[in-house]
Amino acid sequence: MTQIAIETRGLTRRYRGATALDDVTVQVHANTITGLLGRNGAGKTTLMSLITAQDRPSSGAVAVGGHDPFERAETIEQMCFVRDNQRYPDDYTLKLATRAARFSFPNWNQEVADRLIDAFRIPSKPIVKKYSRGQLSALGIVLGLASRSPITFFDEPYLGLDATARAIFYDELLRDYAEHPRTIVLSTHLIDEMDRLLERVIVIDQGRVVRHEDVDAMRGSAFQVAGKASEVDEFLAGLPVLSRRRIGGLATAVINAPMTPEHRANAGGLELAPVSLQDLVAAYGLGDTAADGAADSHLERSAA
Amino acid sequence: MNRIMKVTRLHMNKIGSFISVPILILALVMVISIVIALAIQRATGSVGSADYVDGARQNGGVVWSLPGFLVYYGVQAVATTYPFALTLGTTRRNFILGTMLSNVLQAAYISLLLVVLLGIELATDHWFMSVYVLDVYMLGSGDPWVLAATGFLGVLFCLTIGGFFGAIWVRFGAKGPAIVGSAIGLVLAALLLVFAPQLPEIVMSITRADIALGAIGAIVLALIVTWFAMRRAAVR
Repeated sequence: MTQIAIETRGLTRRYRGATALDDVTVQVHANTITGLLGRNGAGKTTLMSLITAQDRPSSGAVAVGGHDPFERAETIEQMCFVRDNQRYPDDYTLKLATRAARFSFPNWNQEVADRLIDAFRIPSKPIVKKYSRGQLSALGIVLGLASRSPITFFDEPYLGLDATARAIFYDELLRDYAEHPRTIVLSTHLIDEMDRLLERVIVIDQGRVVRHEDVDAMRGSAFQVAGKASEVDEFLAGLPVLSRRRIGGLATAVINAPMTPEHRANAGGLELAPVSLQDLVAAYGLGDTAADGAADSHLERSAA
Repeated sequence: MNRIMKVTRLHMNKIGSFISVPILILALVMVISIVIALAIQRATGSVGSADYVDGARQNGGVVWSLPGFLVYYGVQAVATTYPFALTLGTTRRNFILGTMLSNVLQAAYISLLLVVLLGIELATDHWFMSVYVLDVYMLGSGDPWVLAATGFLGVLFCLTIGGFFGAIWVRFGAKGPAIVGSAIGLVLAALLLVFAPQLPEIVMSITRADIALGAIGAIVLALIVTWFAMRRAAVR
């Protein structure tokens, strides 16, 4: 039976009339890497704040390991949540930050911390406030990974990191996770890059959960068709279309249904293909769609 | 390690600020006091006279030099350490209690420092040159018990008031301390207005014990408000 590490029920957070999170009910499986996907302002950080008791919900409930984490030390010390804009005490240096983490996190591993500090080339002399965006992200990754907390959150950990540093993070995360399985929740926009890390996803938009399932199941739940626009239109008749893009005489569409032999038989000269997680999330209108706004590109999304 | 002690240790993580800044401030006060005392001695030539000692014991350098650092220390202990403490897995309750303990330790350390310096000041007949830094009226005129109690309560008062404003900032944002500060100022001004006719008698009748009780009352009140403000404060 699947173990549930985190469970929320009807979780809602309002800030002076604006709803940041709206009636969110999700379960995060224990010892899995879960991606929290959504656009800026979707409510990802708010959800993580509420789970880690750094904020209080307006209504609804959170349970971590079956307990409300608010002011429950035994539960809170099992979690590590370094924000993308994490604040550190005045004049903190790398040494002070890691020393504080060492005596605070029960499972802290200094070897992992030292290895990551070397790999990311985090400078030890300047105070953390003077760090670049990438260096701040790297420090957050060091604290998150070396904490070896049973439940670890990474809040857009790649911000400002170059491609090499991002690759180091992905490799180190997989390596440490394989050796010490734990529950990891990762909020991200870089879905294509992190695709291989994720086992489950929670897709969130405007404070509401849109999809919440296994990555493989999600990928298998939709497919993509491409070809001449007129043929694509004909093929799509009666199918649940998630999104449709037209460029000149060509079109592509994402269909919200598993690909069947019947679809293949009806495809004719059209190209049918599995849809990537990035494209699927984009089809919901949630991901980064680089081609949006292209001069002769026209994108439609269905309510499906 | 006890969870409250972890928070206290977090506050003492920057042990340099905790230990050395008060020493540096006191050393600076010492140097300034020596320069001023020597200037007075050169100008008046009355070293050791009753008038000179009376004037020298009015030196409030120590009393006015430490609060700035201490209030800042109290503010940052709450305002900037709080988000990091929660990231490290502490609860609000443990954070508040650990911060209080840290403040008490800081107050005890500085008052001990003051008493040791007073001992040196008295043993060296006021630094070998009739310079009065701690053997002053405001700090008990050379009584180590009065100095220890005054130093402890004074430091704790500054740290707690700093923490109070830090908590208001964490809970209500940037406008919070401005509004609360203005409100406190308004209340004090109103009290001044009401009691203006009796002010000279009131000031004359205030004893050292009254000031101590007032400081204890303010500390307790500030701690209560800090507790309620932090209990629901979100990390921003």
